[in-house]
Amino acid sequence: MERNFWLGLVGLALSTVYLYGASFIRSTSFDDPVGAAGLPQILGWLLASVSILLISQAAVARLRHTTAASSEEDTDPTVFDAGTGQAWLRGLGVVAIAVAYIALLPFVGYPVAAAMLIFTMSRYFGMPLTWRVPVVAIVGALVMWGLFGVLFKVRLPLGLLAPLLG
Amino acid sequence: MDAFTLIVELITTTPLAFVAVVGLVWGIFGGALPGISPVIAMALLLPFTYAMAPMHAIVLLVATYIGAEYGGSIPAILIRTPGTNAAAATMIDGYEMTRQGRAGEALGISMTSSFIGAIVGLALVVLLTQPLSQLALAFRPSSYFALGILGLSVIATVSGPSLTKGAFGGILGLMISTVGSDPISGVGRFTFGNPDLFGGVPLLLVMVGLFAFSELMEQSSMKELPRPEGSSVRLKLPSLRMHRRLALPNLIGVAVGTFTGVMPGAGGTVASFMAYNEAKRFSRHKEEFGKGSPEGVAAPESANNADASVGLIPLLSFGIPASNSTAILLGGFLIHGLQPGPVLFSRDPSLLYGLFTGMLVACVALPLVAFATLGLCLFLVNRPKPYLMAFILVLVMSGAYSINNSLFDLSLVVVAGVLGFGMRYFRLPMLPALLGLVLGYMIESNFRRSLVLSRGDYSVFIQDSISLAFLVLAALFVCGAVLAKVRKSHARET
Repeated sequence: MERNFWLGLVGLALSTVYLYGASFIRSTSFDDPVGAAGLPQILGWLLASVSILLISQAAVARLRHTTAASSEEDTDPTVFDAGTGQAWLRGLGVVAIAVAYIALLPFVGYPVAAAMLIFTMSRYFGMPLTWRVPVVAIVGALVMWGLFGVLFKVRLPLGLLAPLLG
Repeated sequence: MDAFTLIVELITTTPLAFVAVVGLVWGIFGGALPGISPVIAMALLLPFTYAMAPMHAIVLLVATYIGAEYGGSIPAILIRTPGTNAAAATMIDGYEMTRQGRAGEALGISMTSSFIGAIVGLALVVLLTQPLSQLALAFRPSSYFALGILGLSVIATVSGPSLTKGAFGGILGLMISTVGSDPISGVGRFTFGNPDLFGGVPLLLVMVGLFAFSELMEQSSMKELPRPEGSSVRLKLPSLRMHRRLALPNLIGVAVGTFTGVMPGAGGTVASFMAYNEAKRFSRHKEEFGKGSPEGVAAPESANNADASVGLIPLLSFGIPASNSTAILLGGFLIHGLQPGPVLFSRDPSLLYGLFTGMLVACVALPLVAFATLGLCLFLVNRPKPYLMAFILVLVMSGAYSINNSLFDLSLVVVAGVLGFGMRYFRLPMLPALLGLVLGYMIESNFRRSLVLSRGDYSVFIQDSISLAFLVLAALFVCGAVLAKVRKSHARET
């Protein structure tokens, strides 16, 4: 239930920002009775209302001393439980790897970036450092380049390998 | 040209059959690999379908869907890890059969029951889709608006334990759908002057990010997957005697799957567990359930495959997705500028014949492909998880880049992935957000168009009988879900 409280706060913050953004939507002579800003404003207020409801539900549950085990959604086995900060940190690590890939792609080119991505992700997910990892990374990247660049004819940046593969 | 001739021509003169088999193979692998659900398998394919002919793209996605429903049973039976949520019921008796050295028999029963469920489901899709879609020929903008609201009201039934969170997710999806140009006046909304956002947030990228990328983030903190003991399992087809024994559980599975398939939000998981329970209720060998009963494998498998096929009916007839997978399929239609519904039937009937033909090929090819790919499936399931995760990320990023050769698209996937991970953390169900995202444009544009046509008269939504019927139905869905929830909480408290 703590989580619902924080979700409610996030929702309130989001609705505030969204309504602020909606205030900049221009009206024009083409507007109908609702206008371009109509739905965004309705959604912003709806989200704020739902967020307040979530916070209230969390507060009521807290007052009733409802434990996490008695909450149906908390015992739903199909729902991921990222209860620890470590899960978030690990997840953000994947984001960092992807962001690094996006940043490097135009400079080093697709084959090198893909190889680095496979290598880094494999190591990040716990693959011990042996000769196999870089080999799988290089072969995998070449297979991917063959699939996307050659077979599907996607215009991929070649970067460092342009003189060789271009 | 009659239907039979058209089907033969489609199979023999176009790559349709090849595409269907490729989709089936990919779906089986995707379903067999824990961490890749049918939704993710389909979402990963979306960028590839961009350059394909519409018919082939849709067939590829549907065949993937069919293959994944069977594929999910492979790790469920072999390593007690369902590849899909719907395979969780199969796991109960399937894994027990493996422990008794009957893995091949369990896989054979799973395959034949999947085939039966898929074929019956296909027959129903072919028979019911067009008649239902004729209703929609009478639709006006107000009717489409009300249909979108009905689609959104499905949120009430798919929200899981918390209606409030379902509403939260639905509103989130609708908010994302407002990014881009206003559908009536063309004014930019939430674009921040970025030309990449003038056309709105691409549905495909959001889907890939929400499902596939967030799954990778989640998997990064999860343990290694269990491995099958030995890799020499062979598929063993059921004997005639076994087929007789499995006739009733298969029939139960198909009936349950058909019922849940047309009910928005129920899904393969509900179908498979309901079928398991009902098969046990009517079985002459109740004591075997939970200890390796073949009926305990047959019923859920026929149910979830029937559910998968029949679930296409609301999508094809009205354009309303009833599950995450059909929402991805709707995305596939929209990417190619196609709107499911009666307009599709009248504008391009060959597309639907092509879809039905592709589904038929996928169903008929399922037993052959299952035999042929089991060895490779076992090989892939045995691969170290780090390599699997690495290649999935490369596929995600490469596929997203292939659409517009845009780094901004890759950033959108990452942002959607973080959003999806956040939704998992807060236990927000995904389908409501997806429904809001997919239906948002249709609802807003038709609502405002109706008001323009009626010169601002809101009673147009009541005067249109179809609109009124849908709005009443939507209200009933929501009230029913709220009442059920209230009754459940009272029962829990007492």
